[in-house]
Amino acid sequence: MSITKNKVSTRVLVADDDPVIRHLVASVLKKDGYTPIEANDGREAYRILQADSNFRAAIFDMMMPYLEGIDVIRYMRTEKRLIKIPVMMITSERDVKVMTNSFTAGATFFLSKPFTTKQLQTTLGMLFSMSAKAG
Amino acid sequence: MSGKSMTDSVNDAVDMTVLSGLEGAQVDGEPDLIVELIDLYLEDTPRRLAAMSALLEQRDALSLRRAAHGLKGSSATLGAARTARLCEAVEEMSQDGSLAAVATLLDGLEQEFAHVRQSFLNERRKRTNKELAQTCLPCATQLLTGT
Repeated sequence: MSITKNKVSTRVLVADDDPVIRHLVASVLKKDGYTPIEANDGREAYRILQADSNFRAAIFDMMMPYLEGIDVIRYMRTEKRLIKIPVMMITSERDVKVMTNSFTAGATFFLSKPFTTKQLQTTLGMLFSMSAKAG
Repeated sequence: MSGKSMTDSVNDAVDMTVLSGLEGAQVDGEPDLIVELIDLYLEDTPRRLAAMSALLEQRDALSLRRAAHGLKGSSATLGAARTARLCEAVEEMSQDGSLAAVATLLDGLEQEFAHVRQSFLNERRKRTNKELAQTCLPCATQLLTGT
């Protein structure tokens, strides 16, 4: 990998089985100068994370085929090299219990669908400030 | 359905203020994001609707709920609020095991998607014509005169 260890990564892992939401999130990230790395579902995100930890942040849909967003977060929180990567969950789930479980598993922020570009950018800003603090 | 009410259904199918609100994510120099999102939605939704019909036949309520949940999110984000509400109803009915009601809702979803599709295609045409007119003067003249 060409990125040196002390340089802050601009790469953001985006996993969502919905191509519309994935493309929209990726576009906002590109506009803000980040490099989205896209995964079509939770299993693909898990495979990427097994080999690669050079991410500034991660954005997961909560409900994905094969592996849910919460399952990927649980994996990340058991791996020392991934533990500090802040994770934003995107969901149209309104069940408070589901959200509580995700926070308990290690999600950093939530964004509810439907969202506006402004809401997405604001939440991403908070996510990246967390990743800066995490160092 | 009369011609007028069909037109109304198409016009009401998508809230264009919600859709155009996503223009804030447009990256300079890249293709029109809204057109790309429309294309992705129109490509993905028939597949999702077909999957939901198949799941209903298999009486797989859990997977049906998940499929409806997925379509709800992208529909609401792009301004197709009525589609999103129908998806939410499918989610709830699937969870309750009311699969007969789900069958009726899926018929409604198919009809609503036809309106959404037409509405998105109209918007897509406007945007691509505008883009073409900005890059090609003879094309702009053709579009204006209809020749």
